[in-house]
Amino acid sequence: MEKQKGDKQMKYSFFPGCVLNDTASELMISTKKVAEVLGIELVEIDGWSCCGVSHTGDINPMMTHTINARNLALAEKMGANKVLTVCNTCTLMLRKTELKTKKNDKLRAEINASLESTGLEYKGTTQVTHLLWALIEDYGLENLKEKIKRPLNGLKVANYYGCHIIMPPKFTGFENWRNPQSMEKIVDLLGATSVDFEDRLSCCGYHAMSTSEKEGMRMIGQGAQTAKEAGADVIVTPCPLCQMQFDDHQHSANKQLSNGDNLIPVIHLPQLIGLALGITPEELGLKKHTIEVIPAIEKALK
Amino acid sequence: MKTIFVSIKRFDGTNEWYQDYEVPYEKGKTIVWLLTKIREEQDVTLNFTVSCLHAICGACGVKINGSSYLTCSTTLDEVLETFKTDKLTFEPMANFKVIRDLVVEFDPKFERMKEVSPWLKPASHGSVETGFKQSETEFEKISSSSNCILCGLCTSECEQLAKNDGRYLDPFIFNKAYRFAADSRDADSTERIVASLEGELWKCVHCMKCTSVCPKEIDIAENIAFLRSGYNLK
Repeated sequence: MEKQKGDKQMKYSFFPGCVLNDTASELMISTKKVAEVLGIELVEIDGWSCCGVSHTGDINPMMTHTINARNLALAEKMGANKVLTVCNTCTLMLRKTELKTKKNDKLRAEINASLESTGLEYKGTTQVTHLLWALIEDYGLENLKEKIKRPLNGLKVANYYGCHIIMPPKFTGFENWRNPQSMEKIVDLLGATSVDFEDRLSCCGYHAMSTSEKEGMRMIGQGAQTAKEAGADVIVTPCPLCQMQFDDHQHSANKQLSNGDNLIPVIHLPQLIGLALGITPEELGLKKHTIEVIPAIEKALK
Repeated sequence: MKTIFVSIKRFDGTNEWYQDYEVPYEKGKTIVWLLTKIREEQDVTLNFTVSCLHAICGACGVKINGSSYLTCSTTLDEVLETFKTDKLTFEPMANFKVIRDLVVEFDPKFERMKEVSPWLKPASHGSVETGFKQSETEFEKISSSSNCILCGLCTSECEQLAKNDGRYLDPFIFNKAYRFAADSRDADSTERIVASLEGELWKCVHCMKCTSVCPKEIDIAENIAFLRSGYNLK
């Protein structure tokens, strides 16, 4: 990343992660639009591959490190100091490799031996961050405040953090995992009101949906229900995997839990920021959701 | 002087209620000091467990403002700083049967731990009589997982247990299964893996709460992944 705080010229190597290319394409659209308006240059890493999610680690942990070292080596080749993501799990998987190899030369040598045939070497000179953290520690909340054109007054927001942006703290480490406040800081700055709800730090169940669907549905059903009971108009999350869980499965979860037909829309963090920056809902992909978003946020658009 | 407003979830075997207490703040005290002060000065009927006071016995787990802690190794200042409040709500650890107030029942958990054979079954290259030689690398595989003090904080935070119908094993039990499955002195990894599979090993949601809360910094979630992959076992 190169930045000059005065004119906010900032540049990151961008690791979109798989879902932004397909199922969460609205997150790709909104991230790029918000970055453009804020003057943040995102240069997509040429040749990046999937971070392995949690799944490759369940089959071959060394492979997970190798593919993420490759991703980071590609960013290093582009001269990047910082790699930016917008997905919790991508952040965790990349940071795990980044931080584990920092303390373990043997592990890095082993990984680099695997990478040799690709002509790449992972040196460990890049730092992985998430948009949520970058806005606070690099861009600055004061600078973000100056860009707000449409304060989201009256909008009640349930901040659903998702696990992998806060845990485990030895690999995330941005804030106290027991009571993070970064989402509240940004959401409140945008003029919206954060509501406190029981499932603020709960798990959406995404990573075990194929083996534990019943329990996953209970997680989604309860998360949506507690957000609604707290009076939220919308759930906002920094993780596309959480967003997909709630957007795709909330209807079925409600049925299974007899929660009624009332659905609460779940949007991505850049979409909420984009609304406050004055970007139109269409330009933020807000019409691409399964659960209709516009009626729930209409009052903040006036 | 600052006052700490404490609300404790009570249970007398039949009824549940929240009871409020007020305690004058003192700097540099532990949570167990706070609970002891309430019991000694305000309410002798309050039940909680504590023993070693050094995070070794694992007897003093509770939930404070929704997050699980050992009361003996956690300072009052740390909790106040974390939650930016002087109001603390105490509840018994989650995913346990409650006996009284903050006291939970471990016996059913230990009964289920037997499913993963949490004891050494000597391999043929050594014996109880002659002993074993273990290399540094072999020891490193089980060093961290052996530090478990069975405090139950991982169980209390487990997202799968909170939603599961009862077949899923507790995270500390999976950790115990890994600890013996990975031990170079042990004869059989397969048995522990099969028992873990029957305990719904693949239902772990990778939320990382067990790893995050462990007072001994055991990467329990990673050990669960090792049991799944067979990596890092013998």
